[in-house]
Amino acid sequence: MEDGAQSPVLWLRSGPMGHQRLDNDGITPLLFLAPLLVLLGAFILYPVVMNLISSFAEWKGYGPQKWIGLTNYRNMLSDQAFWASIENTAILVCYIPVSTVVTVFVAALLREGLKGWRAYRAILYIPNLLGPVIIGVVFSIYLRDDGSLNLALKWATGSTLRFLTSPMLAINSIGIIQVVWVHLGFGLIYFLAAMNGVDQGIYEAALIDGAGFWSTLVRVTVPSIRFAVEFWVVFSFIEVFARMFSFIYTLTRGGPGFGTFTLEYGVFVQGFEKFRVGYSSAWSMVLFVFCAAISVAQIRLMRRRSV
Amino acid sequence: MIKRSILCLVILALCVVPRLFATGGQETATLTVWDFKYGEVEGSQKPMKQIDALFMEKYPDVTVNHVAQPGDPQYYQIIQAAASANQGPDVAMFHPGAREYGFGDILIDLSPYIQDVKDQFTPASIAMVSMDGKIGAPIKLLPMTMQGFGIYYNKDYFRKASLDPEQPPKTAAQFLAACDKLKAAGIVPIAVGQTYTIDFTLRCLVANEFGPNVAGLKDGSVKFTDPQFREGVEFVKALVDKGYLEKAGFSRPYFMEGIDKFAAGGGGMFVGLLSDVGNWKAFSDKLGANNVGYFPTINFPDNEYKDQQVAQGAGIGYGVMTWSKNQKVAVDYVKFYATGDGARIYASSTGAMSPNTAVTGLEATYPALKIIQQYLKANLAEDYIPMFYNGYEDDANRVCDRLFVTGEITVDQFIAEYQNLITKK
Repeated sequence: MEDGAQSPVLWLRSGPMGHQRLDNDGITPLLFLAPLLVLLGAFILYPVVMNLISSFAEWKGYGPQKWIGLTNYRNMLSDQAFWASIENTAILVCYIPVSTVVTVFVAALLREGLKGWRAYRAILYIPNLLGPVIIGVVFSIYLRDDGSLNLALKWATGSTLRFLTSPMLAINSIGIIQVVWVHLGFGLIYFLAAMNGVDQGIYEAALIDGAGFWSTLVRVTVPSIRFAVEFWVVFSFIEVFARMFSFIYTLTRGGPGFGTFTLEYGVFVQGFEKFRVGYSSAWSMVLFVFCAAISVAQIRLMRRRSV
Repeated sequence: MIKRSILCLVILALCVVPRLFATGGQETATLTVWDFKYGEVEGSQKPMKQIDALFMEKYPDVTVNHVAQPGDPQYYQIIQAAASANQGPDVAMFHPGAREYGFGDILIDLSPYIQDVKDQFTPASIAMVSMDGKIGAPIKLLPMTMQGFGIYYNKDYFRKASLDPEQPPKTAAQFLAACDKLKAAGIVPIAVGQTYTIDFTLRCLVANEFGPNVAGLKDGSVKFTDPQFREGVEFVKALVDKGYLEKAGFSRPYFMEGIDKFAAGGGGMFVGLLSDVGNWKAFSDKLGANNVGYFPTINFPDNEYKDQQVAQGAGIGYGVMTWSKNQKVAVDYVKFYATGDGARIYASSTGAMSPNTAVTGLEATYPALKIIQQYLKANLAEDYIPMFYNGYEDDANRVCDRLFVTGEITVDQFIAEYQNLITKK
């Protein structure tokens, strides 16, 4: 294939130094990239830069901004809500390995040809169709002190659990429901697709060697879908850091107290309930740094594997 | 060529003539109104439609486009978005106090336009809608309601528990005894809704503890670290610990499930509101007007003040936006809602208490209202929550949760944190 016929990405990587000058093909590659660059600039770069600027300002979301230097960051570091949000986010992060192990395990079970596996897959996917708001509202009723889950528990064990009024139970309920259970459906589809891409010959060889379910899972399946698992972990991190808001808002509103108050929820409360948008921007920058660090880690992992 | 020219002229005439007729006739204005009450189909919407119709009858050249918006806090996020775009409604509803003052720069000063009706309103309500609560400062809203909190009780349940329904348990000892008897009779002593039951209870108690000096919390002349506040906090903690405040209610939203629970006979007492929802009218209509009792607070023996009725001079009100191109008619609309027939219709239909003294109402039909009005006349004490920053109530409620719901902190820590909040920037 001639250089001129290559895709821009391939073309950029194919030079002797790893990168070639764009002007070999004139402006054409840039024109192809322009729509994406404009969108990235308008919806990613510009907001990030503006957010950084307003994090050094006192601003209520409209009108002039008043420059106050590092005051927002200083206030944030002495804010009880901030440290509670870090702690809660860390607890939710702990559910990522649980989610990954459970999802890979169930996917492997289904791949084994469990009878009715298509039905199980469909049933487990349903939470993804409902969306976090509906799930949040439904569970805010189920999990109440006098909710149906507690009624069942009382009937079965004689006692109840304070799912929504104990901070520890509330944050762990969110971890189990949103990080593990809701993601299970999407994870199954994703991991089953990855497992289907594994050469069947390897499984047959393992079977001939006498490998059982567990050794096949640990020694064949997981190493073969390592890239998918890595991506899943990064995806889950982003979900935990930046996509839990709607579920938390509808389930607990960050309570009781600061029991389920996460970084992302704090950004919302500061910016859109208290209208301290400058201060909220400082919180957002912390969230941005976490998410950026995870993305950089992902890119490095992918590069390491492609070498 | 001639045919073509004629055709062009005809088309041009067809386009232009209707416009000529439109501008040649009377000019019509569309007044866009945003509020968070219009969406209450069972509550405020019906009287609001009626008031809008009366307004349009009086101003035939004006069309009111009344838009139902979600409640607080989403409502204020929409207002924030409108402010950043510098366009939106002509008239918008606000909560007087921190919410109003925070958005004061996008509301016009109504003072020059309301001189003819200003004297109809209570001084407390005018003070509250004036910027930063200062008398003489620009008035940004005209109040439609006043707000406050107090304790409603179900007289039937009191009878069942061998309590005198005409003697409300107003002292701490009587209150505990009443809770005990209600519990013994198998009745939930105090129905609860998440967060606000504690919030409103503390507001009732603080009014009684500091009386006319509540505003001193702002300048530090009275503090939450004072012994009378501690007494109130310890009392509420005892109510929680003894199970008199229904524990299951702490995972149930106050609006509207907690309210509905009491209205459906789910408790002997309930800490409710004076206006809007969860009020004397709502409970009387559900439980029977003669079956609802009321008292404003709980008295402690050593307290200087007794029977203080906590109240905000103004509960909700309309303001006119700076970007409105119809400011004159918008001001008329705001006045129409807060005075005369508009105010009367709104108050009588929703149970809102009007700060407009010219609006008299339903005392004969609702005994609970008569009692409330007596307390309001005799022992009015200011509510402390709207005195502080936007979002103060949310912060305060999280601290409340940590003592009363989760038990993470002690009473000492609670008092220290509660006091620290009011100095927070």
